[in-house]
Amino acid sequence: MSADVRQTGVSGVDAPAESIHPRSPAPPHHRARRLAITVAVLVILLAATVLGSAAVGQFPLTVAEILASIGRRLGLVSPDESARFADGALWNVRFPRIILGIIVGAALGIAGTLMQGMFGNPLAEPGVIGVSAGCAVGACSAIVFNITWLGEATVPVAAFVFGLLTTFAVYFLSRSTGRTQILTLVLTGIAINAVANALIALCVFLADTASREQIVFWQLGSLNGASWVAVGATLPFLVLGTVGALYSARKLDLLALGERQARHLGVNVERLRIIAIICVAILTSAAVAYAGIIAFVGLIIPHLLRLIVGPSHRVLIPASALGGALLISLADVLSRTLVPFADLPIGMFTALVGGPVFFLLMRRSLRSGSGLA
Amino acid sequence: MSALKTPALSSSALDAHGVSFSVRGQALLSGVDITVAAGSVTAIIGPNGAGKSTLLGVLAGDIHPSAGTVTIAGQPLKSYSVAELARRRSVMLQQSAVAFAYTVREVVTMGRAAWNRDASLDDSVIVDRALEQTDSTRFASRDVTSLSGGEQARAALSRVIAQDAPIVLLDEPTASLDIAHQELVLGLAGSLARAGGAVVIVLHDLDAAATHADHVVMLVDGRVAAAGAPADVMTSEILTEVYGHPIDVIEHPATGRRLVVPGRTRRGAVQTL
Repeated sequence: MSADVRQTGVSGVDAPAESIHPRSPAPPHHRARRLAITVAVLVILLAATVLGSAAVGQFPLTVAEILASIGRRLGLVSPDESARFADGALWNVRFPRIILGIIVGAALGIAGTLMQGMFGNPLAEPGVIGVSAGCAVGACSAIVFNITWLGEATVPVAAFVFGLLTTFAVYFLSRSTGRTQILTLVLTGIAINAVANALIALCVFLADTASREQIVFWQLGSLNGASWVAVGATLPFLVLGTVGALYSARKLDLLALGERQARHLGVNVERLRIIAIICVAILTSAAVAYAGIIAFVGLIIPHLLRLIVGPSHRVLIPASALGGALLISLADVLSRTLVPFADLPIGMFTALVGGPVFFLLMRRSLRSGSGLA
Repeated sequence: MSALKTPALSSSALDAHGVSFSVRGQALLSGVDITVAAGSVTAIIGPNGAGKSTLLGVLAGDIHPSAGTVTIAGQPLKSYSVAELARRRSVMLQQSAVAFAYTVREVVTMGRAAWNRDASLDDSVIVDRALEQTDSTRFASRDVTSLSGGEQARAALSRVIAQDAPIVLLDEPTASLDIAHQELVLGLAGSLARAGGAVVIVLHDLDAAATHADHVVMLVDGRVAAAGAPADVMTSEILTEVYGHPIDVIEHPATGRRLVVPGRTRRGAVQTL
């Protein structure tokens, strides 16, 4: 009898305690299942978007026609002269554009994840803090001054070099006493973006009419300049950046405990920092070199996926790559089809969604008091 | 090249000799000597601003002293790599906030990072035990950013225990804990020491230091004002002088344990010397 009373008493105490502490957004023991479902959903959506993107346009194609064309390329289906026009539209225009979109999205998703992990702050993103603009200065200079030392790789390499300088600058300017405050980070981003945009303006001023038009449109962010050459020049950057990111994943988890704590657990924080900065620059330049500045992808995607699959970088990095690829692919379909015979800038869509998300995130972080000086 | 290094006495796990550290001309530590023996709990006490956390930072290898040396098992701290150091000493800082919503279990598992991955089967056993020892099993699957301050501190301590290093440095581990968990944590420090560990704790609670420490180092203005057994260091005269407040050291009427009791007037008025 008394044991009964005690038991109800205990559970009566436990129940409200459970409700006082709301469960985390992703109930941890469900994370593994959630991860599998999330990855499956992302892959299916991405495949559907890719097929849809290949089908729509000024020369509409059916899924069967697309699959047949792929089959012909692979030698599985016998050649068909009547489909020459379809093959041309797919292989010269749509496929390079789709693949470049996937590369750009994946690169931005991973770069955002790395920056957020490195700063311990969900607001860090290559576009917001000026790394994209830094890359753009390098790419612009290469275009305007007609620099071609490295052939097709010149533009991405120039973007990388400037992106690297910018990332280092942001990192060291925005840190005080070993921590990065949100306010400092955002203000540093404003300063870096201002300087970079001034340099881009200088490039535009110096450029001839043709490159001027190229720069202006490209600054809005667009996959219009996609080609197999662009795919070939950016893919190695994505691979390299992804390998570096996955190599750093476990150490980034430890960094979330704090810099000193990570060092106590055996992480060489200085080396981790430099590897992460180089990877961010590599990935951002891959995204910027041909597609221009597409902001906020690196902000929204890792943040959203962290709520679903949890913060562990070993799963967050691949998930963000998929998520970024999906977002860019979707935005590109919209930009190509929303207005007939017009190719709207893709950066416009990501900024329309990303701006408000950024604002909400910042308000929440400021209210919770984390990171304010 | 110095003379042949004779291995330090096995009982001396961590030594600091003549350690000084200053920031912009302000001396935070001057000529501090401290010897931490394996199998003992050393408490660092002293008033605010005495340099306790700075000393712990020097012992942990976070702060490079401007003069003096720190040695682990007779070898200079600098000769260890970051990973080697992580297998020899664990550190709990006062600040234990985590940037992202990892689960408590994930955080505690991070304590195993410095050890070989092929021991992963044992890892979960070690993590389970570390959670149990700090009474954290109940919230092991919770998001660490949703915990109260005391729960966060216990999670951080579990992580430190899971690191399984022979030297354990704790900076005010009991600061945000209720009385029961304070005793749990201090008892845990004692059992780590009895298992052969060298434990250093920065403590504000003088009474806890008197009870749980084998050795007390009292810092005042960055210098060692007194060091030795609690009975020798924590006398009414020394404590009253160092803290600038009357402090009595009396014996518990029933157990005979030494109690450190601050002088207090009834209505909370401040007593002056």
